[in-house]
Amino acid sequence: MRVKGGMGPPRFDKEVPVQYMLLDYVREEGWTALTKVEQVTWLGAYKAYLEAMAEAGVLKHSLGLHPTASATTLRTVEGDLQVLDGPYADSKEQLGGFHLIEAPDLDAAIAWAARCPTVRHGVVEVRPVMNVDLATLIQQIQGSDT
Amino acid sequence: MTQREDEAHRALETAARQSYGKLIACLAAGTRDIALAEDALSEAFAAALAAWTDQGCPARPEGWLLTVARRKMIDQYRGRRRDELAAEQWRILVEDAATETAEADLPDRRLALMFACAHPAIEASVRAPLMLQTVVGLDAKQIASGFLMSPSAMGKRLVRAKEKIRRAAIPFRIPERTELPARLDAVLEAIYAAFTEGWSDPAGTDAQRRGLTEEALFLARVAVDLLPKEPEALGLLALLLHLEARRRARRDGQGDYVPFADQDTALWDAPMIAEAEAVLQRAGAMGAPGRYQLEAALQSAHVHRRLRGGAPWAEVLRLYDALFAITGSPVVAINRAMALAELEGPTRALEALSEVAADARLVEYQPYWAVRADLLARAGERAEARHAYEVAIGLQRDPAVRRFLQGRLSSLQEDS
Repeated sequence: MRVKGGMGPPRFDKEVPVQYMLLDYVREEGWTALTKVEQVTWLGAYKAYLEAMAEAGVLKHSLGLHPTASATTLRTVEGDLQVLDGPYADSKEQLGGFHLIEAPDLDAAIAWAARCPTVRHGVVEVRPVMNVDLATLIQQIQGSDT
Repeated sequence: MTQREDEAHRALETAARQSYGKLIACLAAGTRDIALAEDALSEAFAAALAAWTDQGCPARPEGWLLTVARRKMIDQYRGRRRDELAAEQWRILVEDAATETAEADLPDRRLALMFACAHPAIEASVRAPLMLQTVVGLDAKQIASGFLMSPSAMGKRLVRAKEKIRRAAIPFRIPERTELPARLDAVLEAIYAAFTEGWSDPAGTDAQRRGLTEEALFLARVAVDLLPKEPEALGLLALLLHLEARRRARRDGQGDYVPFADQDTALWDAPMIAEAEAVLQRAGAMGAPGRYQLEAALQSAHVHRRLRGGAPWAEVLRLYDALFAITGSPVVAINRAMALAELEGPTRALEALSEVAADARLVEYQPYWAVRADLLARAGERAEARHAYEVAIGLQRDPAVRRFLQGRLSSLQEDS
């Protein structure tokens, strides 16, 4: 077993990396209220953040979403499909983008999430991602039933 | 029971007592799958009873249990976890984490397990139950009774917390120096919470709740053994030892509540008090005071006062001031008011108490009303004192303390 140094009991090096989704929740009206200079500063901060994650090899994917004014929500109400304008949750902060990262454990994921500029003006949610893709998972569940 | 069976039983009991947390920590360190480690270990215990009765006890019971549990844990993968990890990954993680079996002693990773249980991503109120289950080995039913909760509700909360550790990959690790103080604080707080749940023991007779204080003491000792240079871990152990030492004196023969000032000091556990003092001295020598050391020092001052006479109230007041500066807790302010009453009289103490009375939390805080009632009675404010006693009685869930307060209230009425 390979172990890392440091204090206390050994820490396992042979870890299966976990993927985490860092979900950025932001107040949309906040962006338009900023001055041009402030917007440039924030964009610079996000760019630096993405570069740092890419440099460290943790970033798998990162995407921003158009504002919720462009969102459409679908659900079934009493058997009928309902298509509505607007986002699902009517909350102060809205999902604005996400970063898919790979980290050895939650502490490492939290360390990356804490560096996200969104933490300074919004909320970042850290969610572990399932280790297998959905299609494989469904196949396995179907297989175990028979 | 044959002699062999008897021996197997005893060896297993010893192993369960001394090794449970170590075995869980080793089994789950790689996969972080505490639930499967628990299942595998309980199967290993069941297998051990039969095998040890049949073939005699092994030279190293811990190693035997770990080897068998590790095999069971690898078997469990097929039925339960194959949707999450590849079989090979699972095997490596289980085996690597428990590889040292062949060597002399099982590595003690219980502290890392405790840090996982008290991780900031785990809800604060479930941290103490989680430690009692994974490090001590209590089942959900025992813990639920200690925390006045239904076993099924407690079971669900424990399952959810263990799932969070596994799915979010909360590491079994001792935090780095820079984050250690805050993270250790969470561990100590959970141990203290486990102790106070057992301590409040409403009936004074509930063996399971009484057991909880002993288990919390066990956890505090583990923390001290594994972090011998952390003064606050020592401070907490000293505090718990002081409180536990007076357990028998807290109730009289009829099960009635006995306030500290009236306790029969012959019922105090003298060796335990001596140990508390020694531990506190060790902590003090490190020159980094903190909340638990101060609380232990206060217990020590009160105990000295009862045992040797003399009233170091000024010293007690200083300790409360220091404690209040750290915690800002209204509970500390209430206790401080009692010490102030001894030094400067009840009227001054009531003034000090009114400064914290604005805190909305105190309206439902029973000790606030009990202290207020006592101070008012001593200041001769009978009508107000009666009202405060009534509120204090209404808020008290421990029948023995309620009877005590009712006695105070009726003596107040007889005098007037």
